[in-house]
Amino acid sequence: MNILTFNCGSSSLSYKIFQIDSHDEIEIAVSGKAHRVGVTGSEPSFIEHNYNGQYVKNTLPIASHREAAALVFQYVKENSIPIDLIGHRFVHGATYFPRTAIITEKALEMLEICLPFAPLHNPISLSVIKESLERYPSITEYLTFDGAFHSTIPDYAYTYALPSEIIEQYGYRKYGFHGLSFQYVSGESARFLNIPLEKLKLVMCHLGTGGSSVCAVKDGYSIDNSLGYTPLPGLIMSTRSGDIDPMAVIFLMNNYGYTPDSLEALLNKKSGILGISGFSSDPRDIIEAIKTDETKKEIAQLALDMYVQRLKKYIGAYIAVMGGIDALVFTDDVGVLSAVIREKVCESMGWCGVELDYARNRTIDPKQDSMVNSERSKVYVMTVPTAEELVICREGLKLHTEGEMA
Amino acid sequence: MILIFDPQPPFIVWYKMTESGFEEKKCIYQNGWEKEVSADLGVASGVSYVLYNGGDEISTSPITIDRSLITSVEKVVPLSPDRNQMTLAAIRYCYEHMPAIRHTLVCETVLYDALPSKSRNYAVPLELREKGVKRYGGYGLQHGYMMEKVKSVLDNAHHKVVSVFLGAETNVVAFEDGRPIETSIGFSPAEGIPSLHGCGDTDASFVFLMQEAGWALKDIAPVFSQRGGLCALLGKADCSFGDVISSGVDNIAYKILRYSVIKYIGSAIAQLGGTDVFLIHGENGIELVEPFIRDICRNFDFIGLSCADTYEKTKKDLVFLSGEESSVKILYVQCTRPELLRECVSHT
Repeated sequence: MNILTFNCGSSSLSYKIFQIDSHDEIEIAVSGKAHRVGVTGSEPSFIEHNYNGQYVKNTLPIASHREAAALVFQYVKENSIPIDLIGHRFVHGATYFPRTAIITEKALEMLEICLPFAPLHNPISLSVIKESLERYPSITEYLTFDGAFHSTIPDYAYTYALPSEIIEQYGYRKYGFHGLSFQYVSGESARFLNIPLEKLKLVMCHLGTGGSSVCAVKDGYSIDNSLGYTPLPGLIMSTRSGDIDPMAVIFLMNNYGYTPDSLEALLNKKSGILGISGFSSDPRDIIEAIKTDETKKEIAQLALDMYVQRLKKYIGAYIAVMGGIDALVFTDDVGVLSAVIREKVCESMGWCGVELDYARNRTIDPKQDSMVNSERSKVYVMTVPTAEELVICREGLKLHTEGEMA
Repeated sequence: MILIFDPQPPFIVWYKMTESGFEEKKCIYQNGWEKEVSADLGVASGVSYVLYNGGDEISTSPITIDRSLITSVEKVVPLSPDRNQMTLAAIRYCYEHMPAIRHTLVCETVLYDALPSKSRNYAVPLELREKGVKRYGGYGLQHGYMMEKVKSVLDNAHHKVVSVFLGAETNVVAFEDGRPIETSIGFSPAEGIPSLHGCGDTDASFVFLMQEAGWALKDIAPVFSQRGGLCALLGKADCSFGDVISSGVDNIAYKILRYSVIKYIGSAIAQLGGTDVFLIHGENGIELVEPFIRDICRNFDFIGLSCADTYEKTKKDLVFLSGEESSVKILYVQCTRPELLRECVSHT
């Protein structure tokens, strides 16, 4: 059986075709990614495909995610690759979708309602879904949700202490994000450590080049995530501020005439690492500047210190609420690739039993699960490259074997 | 007799301090408080004022008030409009009517001028940082006085202190070698741990979403700072800290407060790289807060912290709650607001 999965980034579209044999062994048959989708700039957009040991790259204008999806279908058709099931990632299903769901007419209606919950991600995912339904009207398609993994967060962690009529009217609550990633990484960490997930107190740091968040898993369930109703709060991200006092936002509007749109854009697109440093949104550029750029050194150092401090703040908070920690896990691009950030985060963490093996930390293979704690460390410290598409695939397989396709 | 003004919206509160005691008076700010205060002012030998947010203008506390200081206070009103406006009004009125006596200002945010820039700043563009968007913290008088007060009972080895104020606006400050390195209160007390009427940490996007839904900005601010919080969770228009911690461990208000306090203590420990002392303090007696403190401390047994089964009042108002084998000393100090303010202005 072949399962095609789609995973939309804000300016990219990744896809994979998984081949599943009769023993349920999963193998990646095709993978690819469209880059710089809908981005106008000096560098052109392109799409790449990996299939049968061959790599193809086409540089062409890709104006939208729907267009990118059409290019994927074209490639699939040209190579006569059979597809049996199509899985999509939908970031924010609010309370409408607590778990993976088959796409039906009714589901499509509800997806429309969910669009405003993740204004950057949801609409583009829906456009890909529509393209897909048009191309393959007879194939079953399903939805996976980032929020599903966080549906176990307890009421005292998801409830904001806002007036009850506001909560009732608008449904404001913490949802959490990066659920597919945390679902994969928590399961994979348990497998790698050979300890049942239910017996682990896990703190996972999903550090991306776009969004980032921390998740605590106890007794096998997500109990908290640093993102909120929207992906603004929590960690300092590439261009998002993370936590900020709403009264500061109101102060700026009242006294300096900022409009909601302009401030929303500043906090989401011009803040975070970019906002502090003023020159880059990528933590790796910041680390490089500290070493090599005299003029930017000081501000780069502040950006790095703030990034690390906010992360430590959440790690400490989640360790405290779980009453301890068994494993600290780093994932996604920055989490896996930046040894410096792991080093900084693990500094002075002896109080909770974390001790890093500095040499090992600097020499890991970013494509593999790795253990980077010292022999004496009471806590496992690991890097686990994330695999969101694999979770989408497994969810589809589960639907298939549970016979929910009928 | 000296007067101490302490704005507590919607009330303007003043204490008449004498050698032997104090009298608390309050009046709704809008309801001609000047008339109420004028008799007391006529017999005062000095007046002190609490300023909740001194921004970058006020960097000394206590400080003697003169014309130029009044200008400074005018400049910081927008940082905490409700409270700072009351302080300014009280200063203007009393200074005009009694120019010959001594007027001093004590400020709740001066302590946090010492925060390292990584804690002081938000991750926003310079354009916004320059306009005053930063973490000013709060309750600096309380935390500063508590650190002074416990010096004599702690030996010098205790240099990583988590200071927890339990009260109407519960908050946590991390001290390293006597210097604050982090505070749970941000730009305003609306950020951090939910207070009796403030929402605590939320998602700042709500400001934009509510505006989109047709809300006026002036109606949005109270949603975060006045209309929500622990009382709203209890389903009450008003309540006390005691009401919240006595509401039962299954009450959502109790659970949220407990969870948030534990999170911030954990954050503070992570930033300190460990801790030697939980310095807990508030206006309530130990009998009321003890079960809550024990409930919080249970989450930290993994770092070797433990509470004693019983406790002795070693000194008036000061209780050691930690067990002998505990890796962290746990103290509770009771201190009422008037007592605190008396101490703070006595240094003037």
